[in-house]
Amino acid sequence: MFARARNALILLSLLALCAWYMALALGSVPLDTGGLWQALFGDQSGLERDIVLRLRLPRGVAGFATGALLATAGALMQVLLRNPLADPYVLGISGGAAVGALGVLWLGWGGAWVEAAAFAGAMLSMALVFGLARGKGDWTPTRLLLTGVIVAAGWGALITFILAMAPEAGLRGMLFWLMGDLSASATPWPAAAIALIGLVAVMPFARDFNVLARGELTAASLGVNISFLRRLIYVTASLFTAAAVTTAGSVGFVGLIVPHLLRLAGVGDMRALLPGAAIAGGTLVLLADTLARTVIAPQQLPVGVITAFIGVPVFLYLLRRR
Amino acid sequence: MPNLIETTALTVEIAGKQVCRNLGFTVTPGECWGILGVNGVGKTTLLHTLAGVRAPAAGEILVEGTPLSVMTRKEAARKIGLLPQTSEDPFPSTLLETALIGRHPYLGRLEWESNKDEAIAKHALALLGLGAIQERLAHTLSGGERRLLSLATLLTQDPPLYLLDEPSNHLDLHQQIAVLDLLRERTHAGTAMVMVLHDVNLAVRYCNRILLLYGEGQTEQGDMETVVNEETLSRLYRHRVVALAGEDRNVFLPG
Repeated sequence: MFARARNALILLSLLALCAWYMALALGSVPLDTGGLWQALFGDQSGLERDIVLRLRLPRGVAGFATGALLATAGALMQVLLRNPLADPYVLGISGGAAVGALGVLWLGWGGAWVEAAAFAGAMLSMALVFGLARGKGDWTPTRLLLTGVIVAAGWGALITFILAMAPEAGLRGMLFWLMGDLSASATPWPAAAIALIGLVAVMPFARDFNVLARGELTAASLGVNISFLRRLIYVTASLFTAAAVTTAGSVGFVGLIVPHLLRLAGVGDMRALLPGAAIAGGTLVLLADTLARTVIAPQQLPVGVITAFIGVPVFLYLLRRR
Repeated sequence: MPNLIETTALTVEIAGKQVCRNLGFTVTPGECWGILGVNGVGKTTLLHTLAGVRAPAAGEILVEGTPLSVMTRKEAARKIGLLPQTSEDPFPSTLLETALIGRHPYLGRLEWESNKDEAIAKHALALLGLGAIQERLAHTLSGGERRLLSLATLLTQDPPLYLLDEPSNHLDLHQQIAVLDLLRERTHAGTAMVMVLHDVNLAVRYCNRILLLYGEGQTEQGDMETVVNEETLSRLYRHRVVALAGEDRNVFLPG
């Protein structure tokens, strides 16, 4: 089992390296391998070096971190809810973030305010769903799922309200935010740090997640501390989702399809699935963003459009195979 | 020999209804207990309470002398195993992977299953006749095969005390006997069983101790021969039960 997990991770890492090469080399100023090496590690300053280090590298980090966060959050949510159709957005966290971000855009503020408001909205939504789902009774997956879906519907109505009331000049920015867009992200490092620290923090519990996936009764009787594990998953997945949507807006489909792609490839063990989802999700968004800024250059597409274009047919194909 | 499990003044309630009141219940190695009662009387609730996954209303449960309430979940899982009534497989997983989760309580946080753990799981699958299909996905199994897989997971966990919620569920006549024979072999090796059964005659055949749940907190327990008779069963099931002489023991039928 260990060998299979290791081989899958090595293969995914090689794919990630290829994606990084494309992300750093491709664009309005294409670079060959030697040029890229010079730009990254050479000592001459110049346009190429600035483009790679100041533009493509931070944007790549933002994209990779976003994909890694969403894919691992999706894998965690699917285990928490024991529902293969769960994704990071199903419990309304992205809706809360969107209301925060769009509200600030509506007021005409920009930059860091958008990110702060998005993060605050995500945290508010997380606390709201957590509090409401606990209620008087037990914290069952169905109850949590229904609470999250209803709160998400509420956010959806608020988003529509803001879009309807907003001045036309601001609409384009709002739509790009909603589709997921990396061109406006200010700094990629907080998202990358949260992805790395969060993953290291939950990995010691990965085998507990395997057991929890078989149901809470089975897990409790096999020695898993259910209430702690539920909170750990909920808080981690929510933080991951909040960090991702704060960085790139609501990039769709990554959190849903990446865990399923890995399961279909035989990587179902959470000890391999979590790091695997981080690498594969990061690779997918990195590739999608490279396409988003090159296919109809100089115009840029929101990265969420590309992930959805890839995600919809792949997911439908997977569903048919079931 | 210490008692594997011992309850003192145990009161279990569900939805305001008493399952048992002030129950003193003791299981020693090698015993096979059968719990009988009508639907909804709380057999499963009592089993879950004994497993420590549900808190009692009052009283204490001691596992080999230590209060269950102060044990970590992992310590408890090395002493007590539970076969739940149903199982979930929301995600694809092979039979071997599924059986291997039985080793969870024995492994450290960052530890992977060793070859020895795999050998234990493979042996358990083979005992239940699933050895040849161990790489198949669990959700493709039939109801009966899935039940055998849950039993294989429990055999892989192999604690000193098995709590079994309707182990013969979904199984055909041949498999019921095969599985209960297999469990009886384990009791001969010192493992203890507490099983909820709906088939009185299977309980009579395999259990040497019986706990009857009459409802409203009333219980009766003791040796199978003394506790199980026409009178107690008729009271238990609220329906007349008659005993017919069978091959080597009485057979109980609805009258």
